[in-house]
Amino acid sequence: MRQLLAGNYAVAEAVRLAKVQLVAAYPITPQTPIYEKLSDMENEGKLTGIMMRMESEHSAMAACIAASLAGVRTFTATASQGLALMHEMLHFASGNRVPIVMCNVNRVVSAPWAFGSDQSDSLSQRDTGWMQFYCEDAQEALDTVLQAYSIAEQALLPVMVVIDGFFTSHFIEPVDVPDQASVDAFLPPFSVATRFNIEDPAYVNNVVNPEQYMGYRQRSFEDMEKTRPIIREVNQRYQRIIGRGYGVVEPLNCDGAEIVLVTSGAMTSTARVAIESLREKGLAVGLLKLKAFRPFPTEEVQEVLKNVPKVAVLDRNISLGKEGIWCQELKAALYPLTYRPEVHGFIAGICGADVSPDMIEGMVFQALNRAKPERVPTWVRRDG
Amino acid sequence: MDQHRITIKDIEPLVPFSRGSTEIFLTGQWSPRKPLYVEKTSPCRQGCPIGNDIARAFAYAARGDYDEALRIYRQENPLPGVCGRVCYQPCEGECNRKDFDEAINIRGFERFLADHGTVDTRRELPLRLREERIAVIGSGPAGLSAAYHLARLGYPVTIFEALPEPGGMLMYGIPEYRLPKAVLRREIGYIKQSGVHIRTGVRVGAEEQGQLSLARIRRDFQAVFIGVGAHRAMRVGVEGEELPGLLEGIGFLRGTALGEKRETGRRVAVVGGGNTAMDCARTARRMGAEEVRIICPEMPALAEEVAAARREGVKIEPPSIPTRIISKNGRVSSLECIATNLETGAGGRVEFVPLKGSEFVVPADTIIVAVGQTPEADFLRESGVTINEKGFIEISAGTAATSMEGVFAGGDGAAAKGFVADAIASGKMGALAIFCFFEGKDVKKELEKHSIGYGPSFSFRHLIDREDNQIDLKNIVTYDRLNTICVPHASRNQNPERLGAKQRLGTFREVSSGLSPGLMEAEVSRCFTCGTCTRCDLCFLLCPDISIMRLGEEGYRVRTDFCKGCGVCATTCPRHVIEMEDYSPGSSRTTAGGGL
Repeated sequence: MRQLLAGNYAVAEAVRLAKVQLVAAYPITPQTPIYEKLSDMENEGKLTGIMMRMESEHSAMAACIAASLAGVRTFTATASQGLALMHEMLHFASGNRVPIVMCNVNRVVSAPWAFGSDQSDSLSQRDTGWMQFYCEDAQEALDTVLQAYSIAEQALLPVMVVIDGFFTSHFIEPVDVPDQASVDAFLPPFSVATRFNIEDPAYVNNVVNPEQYMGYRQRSFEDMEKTRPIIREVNQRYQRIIGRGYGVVEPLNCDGAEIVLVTSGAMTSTARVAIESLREKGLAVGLLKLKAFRPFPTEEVQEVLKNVPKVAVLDRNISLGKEGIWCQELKAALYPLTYRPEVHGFIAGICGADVSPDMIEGMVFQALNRAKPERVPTWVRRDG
Repeated sequence: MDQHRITIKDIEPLVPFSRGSTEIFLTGQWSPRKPLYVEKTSPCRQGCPIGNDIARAFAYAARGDYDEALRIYRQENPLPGVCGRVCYQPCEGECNRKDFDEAINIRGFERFLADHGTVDTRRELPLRLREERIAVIGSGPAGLSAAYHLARLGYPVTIFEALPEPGGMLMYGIPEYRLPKAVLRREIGYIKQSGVHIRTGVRVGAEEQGQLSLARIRRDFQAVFIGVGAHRAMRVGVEGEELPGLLEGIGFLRGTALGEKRETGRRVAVVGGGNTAMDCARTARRMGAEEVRIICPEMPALAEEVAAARREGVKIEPPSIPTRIISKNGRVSSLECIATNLETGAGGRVEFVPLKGSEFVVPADTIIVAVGQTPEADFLRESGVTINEKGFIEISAGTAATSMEGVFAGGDGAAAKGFVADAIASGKMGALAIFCFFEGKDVKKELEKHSIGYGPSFSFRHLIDREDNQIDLKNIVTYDRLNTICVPHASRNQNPERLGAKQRLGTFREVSSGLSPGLMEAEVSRCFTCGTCTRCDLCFLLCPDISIMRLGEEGYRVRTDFCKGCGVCATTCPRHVIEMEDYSPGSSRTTAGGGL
């Protein structure tokens, strides 16, 4: 059924449809409406599971880990400082191989104190062993949460579904909410055995020696690699049952393009408008939307960009001392190619600063006019 | 079969599963601080002259086991039904709860136990029977207590009682409205079941008067305990004391108890300010006297007795002493009194100084004199037992021994403090002294071993029951050592009055009533059970090192191998059963030969 929903509410609908058994969370702007909506649902008896109102995000994640070990489907949501506080537990989640799904609503990390959308919070959790999927809009957020459960529970690795603070979380859009029967057909009940078996007691997380540790890490790495076909298969099945789907990357007009604009998250929608305008002006401009950050879609990116001369990457994040994080990742993915495109990095929209179609067009022109890429990214700001 | 799609077998290669344990890491070695789980003594028990293990009884009651609670009481005191009614409750004055909101109704609890609990004397039979025969003279609280405890130790005991029924002042002194005879008879019945033989109607005295002599008793028995009480009324020492219409208080009460119908007339003057005087005044009101006045220079009676007398219409004159008894037609007609001032004379002695010109006359058809009693101890003096100048049996402090070998004494006759509980305590002391006499033990050392806190009370259970020796009797848990953080405030549940002031006067029915089971439960839940473990599990649940082992009935044990000495258990223990000890080199624990 089509409804007008803010992205946060779309996420909450997905959690309801997934019949999550335990939600453990702590409120934080701009994620709080997810928490509130789930509370309302619990109050109205619409939620299969229960909500645990925790005293911190660290505890929220700890509760999710424990519940997941006990054999139930879990969900939490957070943002920014909350995710930073959760950091230690993120490692515990992946290390324990628990299929938790979390929604992170991008918000800039202090200091200074601010609230706008910025991917630094989630991208800086890159190495915690979580899968990360970035969504463009509310519909994709809903669909991705449902897909995330299927992926996580097959891979036994946690998934972070990421949406932009305010742009996606609070903007109201038409969203198609699937019916319960279709979701049930897509997503079977949680079926991972409890690790707490009184008949056969065991200690999870015991101390191991270096060789053992390395063995478990290698196994986790290999299992993350194995999610690539799982993610594809899950998306195909979702498409078949629900009628929508998303690739780990989405190329638009990239074949024969002179330059390809690479984006992620909500900014992609603006880029779509800018690209259309540029193409009307006769420029061969393509768009590549990156959805998966981990596992990184290396082969998919190589395939799309192998014959493209120039790439402009838009990052709503910054890694001090280097450049935009997507830009780094993209460069590393392209390095093995024999014919490598020039990669121009742009930093825009930090802390939710406005990124208009004309600003994006300006970036494309800048990249086209440069003889070679700059060593440092170009900061695109309306005020300067 | 595991019906899950992903089974433990699937997960095991992915994450470490340990089915061994980390017990090889003796993390307890990290710290010299260790919790010590030792039950301690509650301040109420210190306050109780009999040394009742009140906190332990409350702990059992809290679990619903009121029978065991009664049994705990009866291990120190054979007369809980009596004390639960007439005790002056010094325990409640020491109760830690009074620093939190209000003291626990401990006396009401003891009464409830006696009224509702089941006594099985067969469970309490002595482990071994002894041969030495013991005679007890007098069956008041001191004699009953001595006999009961000696019987528990296995001695054959015979009580000789002059009056038709045992109980002494409990039977013939304390009126029915305060202590129903049925309650007393039931408890004396249990004492008999414990093996005590009671011979009533046998007055010990002069052989030539057909009485049983002390010498004869000493031939037949290897030890004697004298608990004859103080039944001889003292006199006021004023003119006219021999006139008809003047009664001595103790005789008045005894006569009433024996069912004699005494005609007091409309107006009664009671001389004296002690509990006997209050009992006389209240009894006189019940016998039909309309105007009852109390004349005394001071009131040592319990405040609650004075208040009850007032409620029943007894008038208490300002501090005064009688000066003369005025007669009419050869019978008392009024009492002349003079007001007094309390003055501290030379050497700090308190004196009552008459105020000149303050004489007044109290009209009285009957005058009841209740100014104290002395023992009827002439036969003892004649037998060679030393009686002091005030007429009381002389005993050496802390041993209960009289001047005569193998003869011990206690209670009012030996000038014990005059309350029932003190008499019972002195009987216990006599029993301990006789036990030591036969066993060749030093009674003072033995008393020290079993004494509660700083004494003088001691525990018979501690003496008899070795399992009980785990309790630290000397360590009194003060209020500041408790953890009351989780305790809600709740007001004290008082024993309700059964009868209104007017209803009482036509009857000798008991004035106060017992707590209902519901109120009792509420009151039991208020008790902190200071120093006594209730198996509340807080230490067990909160120990971060799983180092508190639950042993069931035996409580808990600390596994020092893994305890890192954080002290959470000691801090959280509501009753201060657990406290931290420092075992580091040079600390008192290690130098005293303790240590790990």
